[in-house]
Amino acid sequence: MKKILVVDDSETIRQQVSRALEQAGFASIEAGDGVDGLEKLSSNEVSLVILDVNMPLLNGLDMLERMKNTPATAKVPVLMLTTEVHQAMIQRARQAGAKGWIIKPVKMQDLVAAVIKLTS
Amino acid sequence: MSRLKPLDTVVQAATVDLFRHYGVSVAPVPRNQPNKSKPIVPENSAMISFNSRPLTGVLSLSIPEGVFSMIKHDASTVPQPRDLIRELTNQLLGRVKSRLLHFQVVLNVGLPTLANADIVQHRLQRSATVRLFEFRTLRGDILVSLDGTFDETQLRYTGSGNHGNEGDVILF
Repeated sequence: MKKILVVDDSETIRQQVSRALEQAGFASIEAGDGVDGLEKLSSNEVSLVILDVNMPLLNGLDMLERMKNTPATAKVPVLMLTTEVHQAMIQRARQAGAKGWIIKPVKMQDLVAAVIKLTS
Repeated sequence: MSRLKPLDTVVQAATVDLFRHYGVSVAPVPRNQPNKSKPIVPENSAMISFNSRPLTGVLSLSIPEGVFSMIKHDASTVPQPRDLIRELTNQLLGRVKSRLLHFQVVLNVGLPTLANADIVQHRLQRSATVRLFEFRTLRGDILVSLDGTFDETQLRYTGSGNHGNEGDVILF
């Protein structure tokens, strides 16, 4: 079963996304900030990361850049999930190696469809 | 009835759209109705800061307990009101930010924090610049406030521009 890491400082969002992924046949693990996310990533084999941007301790774009600069995690696909809509930020994520950008709030079926596409 | 300023329109539309997404119909209360000076702040509140050249301040969102039961969510999850109000505040400012891009304003935003009703009430009473927005629902009134420095003379509507919208899935 493919495992998805969901990193978001909102427990509500983490629960909502995790349940939707589990219903689609994925396993999920959760992290509440970028530091927690990197720790979970180092101790789990993850097929994809769903990553919020605005979080305490380490924001999502910084976590993304650290992931992509670390050989062990550089190839894990990352899907950003955020309220941010500004092109400059979207381009920064793209250049850093993210595979997609989803703007909250989003229908869970749309998010799951993107995860299936990126992990298949 | 006084004409709404651009920022007021943005906040009202963003709030209506956000709650519509979660299955809650909200109706803006006309801002020139009587008794607007003493709003009742609902018990669940969160605040988030923002800044840009023309607009700097804090947005607060306050929701009565009854409205939480109207918010659509997956049946297998039970959102905690304290977390949900933070996330809704974050998403509300996200929608405001998105709409302000049409006016060439790029907001930098902080992280949402919980606030009790007394803190929000105190802010509303002592601030001379606060703008209040009330919304009727079937289970009580939602209150949104903006407190800060707003120079709306710098807002120039230039259209939708090249940026994303809520619900977009952009794969690279």
